[in-house]
Amino acid sequence: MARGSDDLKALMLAIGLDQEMVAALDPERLLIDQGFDSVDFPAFALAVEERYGVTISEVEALRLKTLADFERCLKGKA
Amino acid sequence: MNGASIGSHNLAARLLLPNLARHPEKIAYCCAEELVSYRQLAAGTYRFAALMRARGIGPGDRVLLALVDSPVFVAAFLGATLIGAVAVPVSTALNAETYDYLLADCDPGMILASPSVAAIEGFPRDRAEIQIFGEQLAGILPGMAEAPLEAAPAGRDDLAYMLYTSGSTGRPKGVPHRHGDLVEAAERYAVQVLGMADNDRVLSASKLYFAYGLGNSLAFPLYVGATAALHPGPPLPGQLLPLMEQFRPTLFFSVPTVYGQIIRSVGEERLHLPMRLCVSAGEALPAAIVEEWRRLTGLELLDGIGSTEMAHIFISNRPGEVTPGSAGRPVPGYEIRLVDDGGTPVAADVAGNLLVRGPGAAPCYWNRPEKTAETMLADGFVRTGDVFIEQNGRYWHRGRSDDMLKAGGQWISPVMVEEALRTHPAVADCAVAACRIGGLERPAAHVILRPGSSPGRPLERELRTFMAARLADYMCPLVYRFIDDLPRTPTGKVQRFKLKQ
Repeated sequence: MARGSDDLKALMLAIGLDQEMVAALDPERLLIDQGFDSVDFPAFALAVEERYGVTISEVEALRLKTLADFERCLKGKA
Repeated sequence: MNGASIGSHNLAARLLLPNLARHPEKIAYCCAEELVSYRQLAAGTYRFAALMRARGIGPGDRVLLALVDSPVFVAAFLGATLIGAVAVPVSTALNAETYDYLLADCDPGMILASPSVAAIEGFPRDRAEIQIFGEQLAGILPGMAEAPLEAAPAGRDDLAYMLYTSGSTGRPKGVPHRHGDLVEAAERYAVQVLGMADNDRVLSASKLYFAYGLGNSLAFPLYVGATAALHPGPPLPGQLLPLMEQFRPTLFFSVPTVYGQIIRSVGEERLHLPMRLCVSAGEALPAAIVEEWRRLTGLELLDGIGSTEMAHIFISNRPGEVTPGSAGRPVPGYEIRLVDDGGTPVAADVAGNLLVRGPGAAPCYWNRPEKTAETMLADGFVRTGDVFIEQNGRYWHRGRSDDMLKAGGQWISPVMVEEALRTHPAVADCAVAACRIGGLERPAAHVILRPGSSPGRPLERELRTFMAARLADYMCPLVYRFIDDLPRTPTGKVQRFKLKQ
């Protein structure tokens, strides 16, 4: 399954995250500085786990701070 | 007659007078650009007390405070308790219907509100006189005298304040406390566990209308004569980190969700913070957050559990002895019992219902004799609804014995979320239960669809948007599971505990 930043953005839209926020995301910048809140983070991490059949540990989840972090994490689990 | 000794059991007198005698010019509060000395705080308190007296408020009368965190909140709270009235702080982010419910329940003689609360559409204005206050204490109530008022005598059982906590039916319950309750919490938890003293500088991300925040930002710093910063805005990392840089707190209080957000807001490998100690309560703290916080900041994160009924924290880790994932050991003066459903104590390592007895427990629920009898037992123990195990004197959270769940330190009644979800045309029935994501509890919706609706991401997205428009963020389900049937008892009652994940 494709694991690029565009695929992750599509997944964000699928779980109902704000369209404008997702469209403007810079993969290397902190998600929290681009509008991700305390509800968006766990919702997205869970959607990633379900979509790609991977497990993200609690400590790992705290270190996934940018879209690029999520991409790298998925590549590492491929 | 000596005013100080008459009022010595009065909460406001107890918190203010020693500071006025010791260090009247010391700064008690910093808020935005305003610095408030203990003398100025007392003057503001006397003005609020004079206002309330002028409006006919007397001992035992309730005064509703729907104020954002600021020195104005503190002066209004102390003003009410000084004259023997009962301060009732409530959230500043409720809807008009909930405010109306709270007003009908506590029947206040007066409402003091922030402009943002008074501007809420449909805010009830016919239940009591409402006065609006901003965040700056300087220049407040210029028509009222700031001359010292003698504190109302406070007997052992006289009420000083009341907070609301969510009930399992979704209707908040009033939890009244006596004048001595917060003082007990300050002595036993703040002083004996945290070692809080007058050279501490305190910052709490949790607001004053929570029992946790009321202790952290009001009772504790005043009890020891420290200085606290108040932050009227939301507890966002982008606001808290600059405030820490500017105010240089030695103690920081928050909830796991906010610690997680601060961690995610730091791109660097290290974060240098001024605190000597950080405290977490409000929901169980995952070991991962304790460890990542220590890696990032080098600081200890002290988890504890408290409740609105017990005034503050009654089980806590100790500085220098943190066990990640555990809530710690009983705070001095509190007794803990873990019992099975029949009330028999369980063995070590076996999960049991947590009962607690100690100073500062609320005497009852407001206007709820049945709930009081069910929760506050005759032998002085209070049922918390939490399930814990004990190992070598340390306590570990294992969930709830009822269907309530807690997210971001705030109670969620599944009933309220389900009621909102059932109003969506695609939903035939549903149940809401906790799921664990990243170690934290979050609400998950288990949904039976009406014929003709298809499960999938598009409907999930629609439901998310639908719920976001109806409920506060923390209450909205993070997960939607589409199922054919819900687990039920033979009498048809949904068994939400079977849906917990």
